[in-house]
Amino acid sequence: MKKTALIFLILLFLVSKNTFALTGEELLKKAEDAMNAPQDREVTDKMVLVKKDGSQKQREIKVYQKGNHKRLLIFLSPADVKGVGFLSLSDDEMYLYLPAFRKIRRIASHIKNEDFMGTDFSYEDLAETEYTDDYAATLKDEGENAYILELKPKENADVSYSKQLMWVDKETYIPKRTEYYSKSGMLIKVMTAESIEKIDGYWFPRKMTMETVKSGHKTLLELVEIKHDSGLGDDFFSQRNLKRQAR
Amino acid sequence: MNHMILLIQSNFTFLEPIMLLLIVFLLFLGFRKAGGVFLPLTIVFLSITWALGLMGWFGMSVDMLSGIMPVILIAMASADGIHIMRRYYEKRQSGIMGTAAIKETFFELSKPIIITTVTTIIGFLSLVSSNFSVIRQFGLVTSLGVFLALVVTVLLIPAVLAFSKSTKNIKRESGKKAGEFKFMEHWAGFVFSKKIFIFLLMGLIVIAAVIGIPKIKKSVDWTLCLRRGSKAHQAEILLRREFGGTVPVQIIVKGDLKDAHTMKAMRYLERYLEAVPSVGEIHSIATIISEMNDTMNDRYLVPESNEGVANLWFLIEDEDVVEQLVREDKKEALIQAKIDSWETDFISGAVNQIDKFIEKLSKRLIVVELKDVLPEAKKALLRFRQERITANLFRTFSKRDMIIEKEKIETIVNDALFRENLREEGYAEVKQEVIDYLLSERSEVGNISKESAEAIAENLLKGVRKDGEIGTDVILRVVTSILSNQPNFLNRKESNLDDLNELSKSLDVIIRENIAELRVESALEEIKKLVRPGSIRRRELLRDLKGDLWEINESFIALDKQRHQELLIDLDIPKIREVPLSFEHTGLAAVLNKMEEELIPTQILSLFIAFAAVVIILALIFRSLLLGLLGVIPITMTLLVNFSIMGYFDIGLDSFTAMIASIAIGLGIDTDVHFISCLRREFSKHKDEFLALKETMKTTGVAIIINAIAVGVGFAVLLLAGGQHIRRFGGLASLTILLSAFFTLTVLPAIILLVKPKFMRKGGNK
Repeated sequence: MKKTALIFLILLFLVSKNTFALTGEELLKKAEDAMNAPQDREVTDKMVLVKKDGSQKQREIKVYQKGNHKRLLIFLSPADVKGVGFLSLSDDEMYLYLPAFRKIRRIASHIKNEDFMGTDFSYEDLAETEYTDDYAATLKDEGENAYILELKPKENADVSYSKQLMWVDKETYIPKRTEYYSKSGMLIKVMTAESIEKIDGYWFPRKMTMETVKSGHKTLLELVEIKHDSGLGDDFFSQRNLKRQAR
Repeated sequence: MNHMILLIQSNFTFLEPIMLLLIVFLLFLGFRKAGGVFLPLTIVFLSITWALGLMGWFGMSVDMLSGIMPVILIAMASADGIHIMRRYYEKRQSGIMGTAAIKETFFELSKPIIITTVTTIIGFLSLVSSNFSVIRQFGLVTSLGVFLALVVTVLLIPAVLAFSKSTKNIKRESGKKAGEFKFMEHWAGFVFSKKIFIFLLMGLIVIAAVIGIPKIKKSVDWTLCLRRGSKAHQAEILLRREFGGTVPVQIIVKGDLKDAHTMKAMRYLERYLEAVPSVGEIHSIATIISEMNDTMNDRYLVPESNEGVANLWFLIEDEDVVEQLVREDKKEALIQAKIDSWETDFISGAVNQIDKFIEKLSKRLIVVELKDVLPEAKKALLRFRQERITANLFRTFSKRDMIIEKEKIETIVNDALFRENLREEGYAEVKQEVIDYLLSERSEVGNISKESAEAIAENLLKGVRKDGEIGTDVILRVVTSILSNQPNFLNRKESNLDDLNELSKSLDVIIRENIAELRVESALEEIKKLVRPGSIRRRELLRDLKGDLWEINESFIALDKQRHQELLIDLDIPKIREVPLSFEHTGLAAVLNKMEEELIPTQILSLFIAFAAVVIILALIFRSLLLGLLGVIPITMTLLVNFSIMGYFDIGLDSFTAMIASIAIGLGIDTDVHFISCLRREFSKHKDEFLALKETMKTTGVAIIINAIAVGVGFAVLLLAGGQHIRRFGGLASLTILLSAFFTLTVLPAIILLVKPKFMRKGGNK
């Protein structure tokens, strides 16, 4: 009897482990869902570019987001670049608007991994939130507050990183830290998210930092204003509206 | 440059011990006594150590020239020791005992030794007049070393000699020693009997020198400092071939870099740089912005508006390349280029050309607008623009070694600037562009029907054909009136006034740009006719030509102040703004050029100063101006031969070979003083010219020969060095030392015997 009880306990344990533990894939999906939970989102950020020597430059940006792919970003300040805009419809359909020339240019896919306007984000970083499309995740480790996922690009995925390590917050499923590795396996950038708060029922970090390891250059994003679910239509994310928002 | 300095230093650290060993060997051959080797070398060793130590204390660093200082000290400092030891052994051999021998030696020699040292110090101190800190430091450090050598010589040597308790008589050796004396006696006899012949030979040498010296090239190829086949040399050659040279040219631009016209002025200078032979790889924020503009707007030039510059700059803000080229405050930028040569001839040619051009550039630009000026003023402005564009186009071609008649380019540019009308197909193309835009999803106003789009385009182009250009007001009126006729249009959400306004502005840009594009295109077609068909195929050339020509469309012109006054003072054109800016040429090329330019006058000046000093000092020492003048003759001869060898054998004058003159003077004066004072002493003793000469030859003469051979062969070791510069230096220095001894022992006595200064006359010297 004792023996059967033990076997039963062991079985129960095994079953429970299988039932309740999440796989890397599931966790990544959860993270993605947490980040893209609202219908749409309208964020005003203070952006600070910090050089290694500590000198800073400030900008203000407005970002509209709908679903996993649609993004529209406008620079509000400084004055001489007000209206410079960026539209992303998918990870290979991105546009740039320069108001001084009244011209929209499609961004060639080969510059996707270049820095976006002096920030530490690449065009790809800005466009990408649908990780499960391009990356396969495995659970590498589990810390006290976070799951550590290792993301490797899927076959034929057109991405510029060889690996990402992602610390997914256990409570909110928002990635608290992401490490980006180059094709040659070097750590190139680190993104951290702080002050994750529930706003309008959605988790969102009030502060985000992207740091380029080699240069020590940093981009800080501080939340100024946020609006959720205001019903942005698909035609909001159009070239026409990119120009209009830039006015 | 660092690797070169390292190489030079490693040459010396490797070769100096070999030099020293060789000198030890030769000194031993000369003296056959340990003391004869040991004491002169002690002087050398101590003075070098002290001098280097003091350099360290004063925070001086060992550079290319002061690295030679130990080598020179080996030559200079050992000479006194050799003379002393020679005389000391002489005294001992003639039976004088220990302390007495020392006393007599120093009694006879301290005057010439102190004199020679002082003159040497003066010789090297004359280098302090140089404009180059490197040469100044070399002069200071070396004269310091020579002074320290004197201190060691007069304090240490008598002390050490006094310690050596040996009182036994040094026997005059028969055999070899006797042969040595015989040789010197023969030598004296030869000089005594053949003085006229020697004098004539001297004349021949002077003539040869007068022919040879002007052939000296003032040119330095810095790669000669590197051993052929060495890694550094290979890297250098590879760099030159693959990357357009390695001598950097840098021009600092000061001004408001956010101003499009500052950048345009930079480009204008850069266009000039590109056309200078062997200058290439030009890089600056202005080239980056032009490239960005090429990507965004398909034209390789700095955009006309400050907003355009700001927008493009924004895309690359904070990138490393930009940081290297522009200061954070955007008030100072760098234009970088490279010269594809290390020949100083070439470098200085290019640098002078660049400097001259920069000098002519205005420090203040005045920006005016072409719009709304009187026809007369417009004509003047366009003429100015035509000159600019023509110059740029010409440079675009000459950069690629394509020579095209300026007049032909001028005609084409003129046509493009003053032509009002486009060809008919051109208007059709513009019209189609307008229709395409109105129907595209980029258009500020959506849902425009095909009919409305066509009507708008038709109307706008009518205006363009009539007036050349139309403003946004007209466009707005046309667009509004046509769209208001489109059924149900003005009720739509998108069609508010703001959108219509913006649409008009966009259409204005589209029309202007397309017309501009067409004008440039037709001018480009004309340009293509000037060259062989098919020779403009390279994308980069087309890009440059288009960028050059694009300026015909611009609505602002930046004039320099003088031009502004010439052209426009009577025409009263409103100034849009003033753009102050300045250019300053720096970089290695400019420095090298300055160095080479100043090297020769510096050297000649210090040579004259040294000569004058030598004459004065010799005259004071011997209380006879005549002797002072006679004393410099061997030095002069040595220098003449040295320089004519450089002329005949195509050895360029550079910082190294120029040093030879200092060495020749320094060494020459030493041997002169020793020789003359000995001859004078012997003459007052014997009152017989021939006997005095024979005795001088046997004592001082032998010391001079030992010294010359030891040090001369020592310098010859440098012939084994890696760098050609050092090899040449070593060879020339060695030759100079041997020649200097030779002339002192032939020309100097011959002349003295011919001229017969006061001391040579019966009862002459007191």
